[in-house]
Amino acid sequence: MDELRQFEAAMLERGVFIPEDLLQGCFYVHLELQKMAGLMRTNRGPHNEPASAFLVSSLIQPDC
Amino acid sequence: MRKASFELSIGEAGAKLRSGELQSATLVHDALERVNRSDPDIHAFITLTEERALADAEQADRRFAAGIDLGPLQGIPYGLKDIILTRGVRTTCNSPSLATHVPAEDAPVEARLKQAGAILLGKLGTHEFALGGPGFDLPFPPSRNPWNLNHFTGGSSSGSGAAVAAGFIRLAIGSDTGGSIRSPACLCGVVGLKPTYGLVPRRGAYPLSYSLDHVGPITKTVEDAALALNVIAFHDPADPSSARRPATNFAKDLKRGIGDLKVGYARHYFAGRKGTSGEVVDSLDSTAALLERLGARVDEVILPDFELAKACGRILMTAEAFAIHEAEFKRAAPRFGRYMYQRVAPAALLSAADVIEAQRLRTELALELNRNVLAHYDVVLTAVAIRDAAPLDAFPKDWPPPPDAIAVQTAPFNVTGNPALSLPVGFSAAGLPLGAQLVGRYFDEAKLLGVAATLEGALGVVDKWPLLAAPEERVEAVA
Repeated sequence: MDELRQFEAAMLERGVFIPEDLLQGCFYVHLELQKMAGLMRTNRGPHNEPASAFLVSSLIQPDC
Repeated sequence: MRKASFELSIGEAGAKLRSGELQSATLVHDALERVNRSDPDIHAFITLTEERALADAEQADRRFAAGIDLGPLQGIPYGLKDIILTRGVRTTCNSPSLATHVPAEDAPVEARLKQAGAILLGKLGTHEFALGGPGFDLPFPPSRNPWNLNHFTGGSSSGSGAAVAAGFIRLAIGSDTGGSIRSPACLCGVVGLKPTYGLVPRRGAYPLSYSLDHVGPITKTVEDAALALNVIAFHDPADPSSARRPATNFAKDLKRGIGDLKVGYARHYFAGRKGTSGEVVDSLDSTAALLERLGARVDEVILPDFELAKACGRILMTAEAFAIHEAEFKRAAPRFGRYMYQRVAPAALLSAADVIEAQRLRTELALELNRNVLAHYDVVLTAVAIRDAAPLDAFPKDWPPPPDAIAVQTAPFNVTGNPALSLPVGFSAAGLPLGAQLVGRYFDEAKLLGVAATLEGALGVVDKWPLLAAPEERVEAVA
């Protein structure tokens, strides 16, 4: 099975049926997104750095 | 020479309205006449609220006569991107799935503009759900660039850029998730401000990406943008992203000058990029040189890697957009245009780890920009787009268009949340507008607008208007 059909099958597994005439455009975007996801991973900082924070203080409003 | 009403800034029109020299009803009537004459070519408006606008203008005139003054926007016509909810007025997001949708409530930003006495002239063209692209399979056709009807407006606030550039309205409210205010502002030759994330409530603007969406003004001048921001920047307790900030007059620094300011010039961001036109590089170099002549200290600076910031923004935007529309994508026959479908559906295959990595990277990029660059410079200067507006026929039926047709340098500042403004700086050899992007510190819009206003005054391009085709020339112009 070629990459395009593998992509189509994987999308279907996730509940998204792609009409044949939209498939090439979707596949192009899929490849682009995967390349971007790869780029992020090759440039990440150390695991122990708390770069992603959930700020409780930002959720507390004085009038709450 | 006496100015036509469409040439009056918000401040100039306001002075005439208050002195009785001009009526709001006249402003609205003139605007509608211009729209009816030229919008069949430009397609800036999706819905015109003609009757309501005339009634509201008469009410504004009665208020002026009675000495009631709700502020600088009283009696001034404006438009809203058609993703911003308007009670009783169709809000379509230019999507087949919402083509007849009439909301029951106003977005808080729209409610605020109403309270300020401004006059809604209509709802403005957009790419589908503020993403998609200039598709020809949507309920409403793509807006066309008033400087050349065969060219793209930029997007997704395409009608907003076109309407202000054409002189239909002085103020449009758009949204910006990856550049959707700054791109049309740049390509149509007007001012577009993406405020700091959270400064302007985005509740009631149909979401594209919860964490990247910003709402802001597109205007003819920097002063118009400042006056609009004074009205639409406020805390919305029902919007968790809405910032609680002290009241600010964003017009306070418009005349302060820039002699004591430091500008970081991020030339590497665009000058070395494949496809960047020489005209864009020259116009930005000239703008940097002008800032120096005006007294600012200008140094070249290095920003966090563009491709990395773009990747971070794309992963987050696409994943969040898919989450919003997931149920529709899983229908047997999803009601989307081709571009919207092709650009968002593949997010079904993004992993949780992809999104977590993007969220983590986002914080790192924001820290790098703000601690390493903007802690030392008042504003950063860089490009908005790497070329002038592409021809509309460069866009094929299916995604992707040619890379340079949509290449903008805007998304990194949605990722970091910094305020960023597009300012017209000149024209290409083809007679199409060129713009510069100014990026500021968090919640320092007053200074950003001040730098932009000083540049605007020195550049001398703000008073230029496109020559709109007369009805008899229309067939040839759009052929």
